Amino acid sequence: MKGNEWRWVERDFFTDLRILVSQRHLAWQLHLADIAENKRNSGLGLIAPFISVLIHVLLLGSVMGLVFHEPLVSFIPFFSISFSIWQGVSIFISDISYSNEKATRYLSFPNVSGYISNLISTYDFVIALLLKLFASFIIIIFINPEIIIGANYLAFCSGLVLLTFVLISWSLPLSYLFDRVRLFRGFLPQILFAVYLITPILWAPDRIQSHKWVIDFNPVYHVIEVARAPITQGVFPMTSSLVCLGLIAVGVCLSYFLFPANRNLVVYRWMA
Amino acid sequence: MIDDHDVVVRVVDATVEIPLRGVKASAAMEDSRIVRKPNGSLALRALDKISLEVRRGERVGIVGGNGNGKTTLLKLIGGMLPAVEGSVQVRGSIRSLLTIGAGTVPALTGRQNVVMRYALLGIKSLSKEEYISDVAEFAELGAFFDMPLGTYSPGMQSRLQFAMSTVESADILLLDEWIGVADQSFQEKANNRLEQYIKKNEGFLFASHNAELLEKMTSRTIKLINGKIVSDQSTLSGPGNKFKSPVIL
Repeated sequence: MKGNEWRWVERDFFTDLRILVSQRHLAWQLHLADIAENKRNSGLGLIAPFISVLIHVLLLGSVMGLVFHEPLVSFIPFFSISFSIWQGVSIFISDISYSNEKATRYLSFPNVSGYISNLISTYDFVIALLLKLFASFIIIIFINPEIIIGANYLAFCSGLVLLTFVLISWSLPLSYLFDRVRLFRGFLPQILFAVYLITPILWAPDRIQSHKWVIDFNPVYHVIEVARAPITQGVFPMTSSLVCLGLIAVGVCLSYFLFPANRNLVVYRWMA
Repeated sequence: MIDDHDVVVRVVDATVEIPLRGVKASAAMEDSRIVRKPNGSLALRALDKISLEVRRGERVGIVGGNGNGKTTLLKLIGGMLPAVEGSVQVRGSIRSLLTIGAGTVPALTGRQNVVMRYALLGIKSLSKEEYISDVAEFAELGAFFDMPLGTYSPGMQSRLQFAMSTVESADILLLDEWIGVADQSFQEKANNRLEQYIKKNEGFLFASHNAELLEKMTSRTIKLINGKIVSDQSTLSGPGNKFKSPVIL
């Protein structure tokens, strides 16, 4: 690193991003340490996301399908993919709401990027999401294997990449928000539950055709749809992809402006 | 840039201010170090226009009462705090042992923490296995090495921290007084390892209240009062001494 670039407390946003890219292997090592820590805490480790989706989809999906009078052969596959993505996104947001606390763990290593805890959370998200989707695919194979055959896997991969970039680009603004207004952390489960209810996850989007704007103007719907539509409908979701690209651009801009303020929160904690 | 080849740390007119959010304005009247910023917010001036040079092989002790800026100075040099004014230049690699639990995860075992530290420090001169075995041998934790860090006593944690941070030599080592929690035999062992550092022409800064430990481990003493250096003198009886006469600022 040139000059004082080794000092995270004095780096600019783009230098820190460049250093983050060079430290992706370190982030992976720290992600593995995170898994070991989670395994010690929960006793399950990587099996947890897999089991969670199996139980939720089979129990909640079946019950809700019956309540909404939806044919289970189409509702269970829709719900299992939706739920896997939503659970991954919501766990990521919960994780990110404490990201600044995790970043303080690495303050004694000033050469490490200030973004590293966000990248570790992103690795956590991607691995957990793949395991959840794997569990969903197993369920779909038993319920309706034609969906697996007719899926657009190229669009699905593109959707997963866009979804991941949306999350990492918004990770710093979210870290800042939940650290600046810590009261929000207490309400996070309720906030996430409200988003879960107003977004087509537990119900199919075509159920509210008369109020379609509720869906169209919901960014979370597009974030989920970008990876869901290629599986459930076998299509490339152009609108959702464009919305995701827009969200990434806004997230990067917000991160750029909030970077110095968020760094102050990490360095000085509640004093800042 | 640092141009004098012997200087490993150069701090020039550096000021460190800690923001004071939610502190009443009347507090500014009670302590001259609390200053009002142009935007109306309050800040504690923890270090006030500090200038300091550390040369290769120097062992610098930092003394001063609680809250006078010893740890802040180490954090400034170690890149954990920014300077709002002035500059800090460091030549070479740096290792900081300032907080007993820094960079460790209590739920992980000593061994798992060592693996994590190996990645964090980006060590290239040793393989992971060599690093682990060196730390295990130096820290002498026995069966505790494979037990969660949360079960360690402060002394055991300091053993592990010191071992993890000093296996691979760095150009500059920053040490806060917590090493004092380790037992006498480990302190001697730690001091021997530090001696090896000095032989490799490395800089060492140590903040402590323990006069005996400072005398044993350092050759120059800086005294801080209210965030300012009030004296800087050599300790003639200390090891690795390069100074002929005391300098009083």
